[in-house]
Amino acid sequence: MKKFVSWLLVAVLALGMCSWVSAEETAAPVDVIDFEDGAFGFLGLWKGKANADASTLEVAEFNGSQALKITLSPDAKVPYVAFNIEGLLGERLADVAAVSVDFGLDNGSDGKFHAVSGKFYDFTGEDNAEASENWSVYLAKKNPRTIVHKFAGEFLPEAGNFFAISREDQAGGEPVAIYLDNIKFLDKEGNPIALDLTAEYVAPESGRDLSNLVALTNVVEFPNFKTSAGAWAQAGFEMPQEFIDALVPGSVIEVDYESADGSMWIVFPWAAAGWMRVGGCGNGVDARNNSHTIAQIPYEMIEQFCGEDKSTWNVMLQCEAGSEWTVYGVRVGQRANQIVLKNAVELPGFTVSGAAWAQTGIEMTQEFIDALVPGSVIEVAFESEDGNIWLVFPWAAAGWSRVAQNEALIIGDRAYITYEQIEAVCGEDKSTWNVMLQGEGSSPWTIYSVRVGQKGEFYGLTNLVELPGFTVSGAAWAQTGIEMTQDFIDALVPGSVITVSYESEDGNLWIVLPWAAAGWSRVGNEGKDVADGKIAQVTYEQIVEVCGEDKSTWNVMLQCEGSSPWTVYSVAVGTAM
Amino acid sequence: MKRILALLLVALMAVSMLSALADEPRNITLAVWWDMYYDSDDEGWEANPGATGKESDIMRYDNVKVIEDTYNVTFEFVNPTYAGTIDSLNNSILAGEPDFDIYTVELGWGVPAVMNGLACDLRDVLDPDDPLLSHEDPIMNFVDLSNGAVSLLYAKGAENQVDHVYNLAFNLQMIQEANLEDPRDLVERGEWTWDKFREYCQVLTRDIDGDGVIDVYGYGGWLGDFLPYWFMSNGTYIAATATENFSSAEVGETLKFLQDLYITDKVAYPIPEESGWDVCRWLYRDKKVAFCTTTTWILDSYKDYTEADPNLDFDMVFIPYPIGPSGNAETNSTQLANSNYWLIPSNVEDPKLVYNVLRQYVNWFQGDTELRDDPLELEWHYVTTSNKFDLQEYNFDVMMEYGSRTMVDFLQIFINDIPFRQFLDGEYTPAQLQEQYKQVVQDNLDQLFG
Repeated sequence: MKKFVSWLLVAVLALGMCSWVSAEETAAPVDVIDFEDGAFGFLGLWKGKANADASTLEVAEFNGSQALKITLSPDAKVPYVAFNIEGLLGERLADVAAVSVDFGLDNGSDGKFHAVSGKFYDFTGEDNAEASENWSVYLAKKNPRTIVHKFAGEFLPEAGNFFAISREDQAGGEPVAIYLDNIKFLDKEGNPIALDLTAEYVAPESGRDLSNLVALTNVVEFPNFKTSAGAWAQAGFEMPQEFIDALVPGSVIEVDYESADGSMWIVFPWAAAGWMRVGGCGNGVDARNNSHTIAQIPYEMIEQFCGEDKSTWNVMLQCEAGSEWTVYGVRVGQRANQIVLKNAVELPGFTVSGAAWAQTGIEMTQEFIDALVPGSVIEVAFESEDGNIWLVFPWAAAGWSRVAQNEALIIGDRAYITYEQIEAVCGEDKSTWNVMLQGEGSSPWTIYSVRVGQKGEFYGLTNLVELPGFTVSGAAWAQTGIEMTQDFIDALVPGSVITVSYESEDGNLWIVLPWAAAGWSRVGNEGKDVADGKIAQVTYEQIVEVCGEDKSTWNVMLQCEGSSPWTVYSVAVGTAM
Repeated sequence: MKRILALLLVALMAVSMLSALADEPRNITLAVWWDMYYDSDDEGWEANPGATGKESDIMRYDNVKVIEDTYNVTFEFVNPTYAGTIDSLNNSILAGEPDFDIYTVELGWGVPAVMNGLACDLRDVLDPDDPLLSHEDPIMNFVDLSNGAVSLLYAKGAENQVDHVYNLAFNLQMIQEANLEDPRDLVERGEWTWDKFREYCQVLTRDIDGDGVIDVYGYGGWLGDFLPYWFMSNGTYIAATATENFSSAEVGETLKFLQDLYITDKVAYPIPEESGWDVCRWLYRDKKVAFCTTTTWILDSYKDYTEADPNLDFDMVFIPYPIGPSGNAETNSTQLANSNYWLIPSNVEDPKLVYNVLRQYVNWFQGDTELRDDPLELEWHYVTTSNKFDLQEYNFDVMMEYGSRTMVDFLQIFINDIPFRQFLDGEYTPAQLQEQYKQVVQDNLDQLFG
């Protein structure tokens, strides 16, 4: 009996110790992201790159435990899973040296293993410098696989630094899902750092994706247009009078949205012409950026389907998409092509402020003056209370001269003043303008930078037709491409524009029609196209100039080429707005 | 007794199972990041979507059976992705267990792998008199590396030899009109030297209309196309090993020679600041140069000779680059290693078997090199250079001969880091350029060799 009692005592003690240990473990700080609780608010999809995919993120079982599952969208581009590293690490942000991740792959729909690779992206330091390193799971017997990545630089607080994992390449087969698990952030000694898993992911600031879109001026916001609905469901509001007044020829309705299939269009349900979709479903295709987050519907497209008399469109404006959708904002404005400066020259040190109607500036450098030639444009990055800014040439032989007062093209925080506008005020002989350049505004203002360059314009594109499968890379001066589809060729008409989403080391990219009857033909090279390092546009008319008017003689092969190593993510043709 | 019999039976069964296991053929794997054909998984020549059923397709498919029967192995292509191939090469070999028996590599990371001991040196594996080691094997060849390792392998064959060569070429009629001896004869007699070339360029550079502007230069080309070959013609290179060679005396000699052409004699077409590549590659078409550096794809761009009625009214003749004071006509080359190669990892099991399997895979034509090098399959390489049969053959032979020796120079990877155009404009002396940029070359090599 005594023996039984003592065994019982030992058992009770052991249980007690176990529960104590368990309580201690619960209280211990978390230093690994294992997704067992299903939460992953500290990460999200980063869409800062032109090829970003709208993948699905979810927690699902893999290899006997919970893991983050990444499933590609039908577009099958590249997902970038970004982490709020500052929120996760808090005060120990400066200590982090590496990250350890378990990568796993599903087998393909054919039941076979297909290797997958991607990259770790680090954005570190004061200038948010980008660096990357490959990861891969390349053998069935090494799936899943733990990979340790050493960060390229130091993460700084409040510098917009972040870290992302992409999935870029697969060896054949339909795209498979990948899994991330047991993520540990390690210090220099390789010890995992405690994590705050309540951190919230906030998309890093990467600028709005304005691909395929026009810029808007004189913008009128549609107040509180934020709503959601399921696929093929419509939701919206009555347009306020100010919004209706701004709907005039040359204007564009712009919608900020998110939808699973990337689609978005508008509906005028009370139009006299009948319940009317515009911008989708056979009634035109609105302009949408490559990230599928902004749609633009030109006034003329609405007119085409709802009639010329705006009053018959009636006041109800709704949105709709082919999948579940959310709209975050709607506005209307006059359209202006986005301006790109070619061979831009900066005027160093032009960071000045002034009170309303005060002028401040600096003397132009010879390099800047040399770049001021017919066709050039001065770009002023500025901020002012009333959104107005212009230039002053106080020493001009024509007299103290204001240029483009209330006439500069203002797009967001940039003002554009053309050479011809200066010439109209100061005279044709540039040498008489003299070297002093100043800014001025009708309210307190600050100019952050001033550049001059040849003016290039990006067109907004409706009725976009993609050329499927045009994801290719090439070395400098190498050409690669595919044959154009009949749909694509049909869309190549006067007024159309080929748009290429790409990256290249020196920013240059153009197209090549190697089988053209006119001979092997480059189009848009030597800076004749408009390219900003992400998007390049070549007009139908530029192709005609090189390859001739008869489209059938251009033949079907379309290639790209650059003067440095390049990658093209997509090619499409659309109608310039 | 029954028990003994039963035990015997069990023992027999075990032996038979073991021997069956021992007979299980080894699977030889080749890592490559694109689709390759054929391997033991393929069930017919149709497995290759690019095949049409021609004789060579069927021979390539049947060759897999030859591999299996000859070496008692199966043969498999595995696609680990591009990044996965590099990952596996750099990690699994170091760990002592290579994931694959053969790796496809690019020069930029294949050479560092060899230099760091990750690749098998076939000098330690093959018989000393194996023809591969002396470049005499008709099937396989290797890239000569500074450490002598026989590791970076590629298939021999006419197509590989002529595909990427950048030839020196001349306008035959200009030479004839200037009453100069045909350079081919000088090559034949071993008198084709830098001095002779400089002399020719001086004669050929002319202001035809007397307006003070040079109309024809002796030589012209794009520096991205010609630079490595001029260095080779003096038996040297910029960056072929882990240590820079930019500061060497031989490179200095070559730089001096180029400045003699461009600045001292002014007999080479000045390279424009903008679009130099586009201007300089086509100078020969407008008869603005007598000699130039060119290649088949350049001649094909405007179908110079491939149309029934040729676009040019003169002939282009290929010849080797003239030999500099430190050069050697026997080793001169117009082929720069810049393609994909195979390597066998250093600690692979039975590397000789692996090599034999790879060689047999390449040898789909079963030793019949005429079939492999069938001119009908290589027609494009003939007809792009001339509309005259004898010249087509001559140019092809020059490409074959000087393309047979593949040289290594990593210069192309960082050529834009060195201001060669400004150098040819006289902004630097050879010594200044070498001194100021030798560290740039070394930094690039350090990055390359890890």
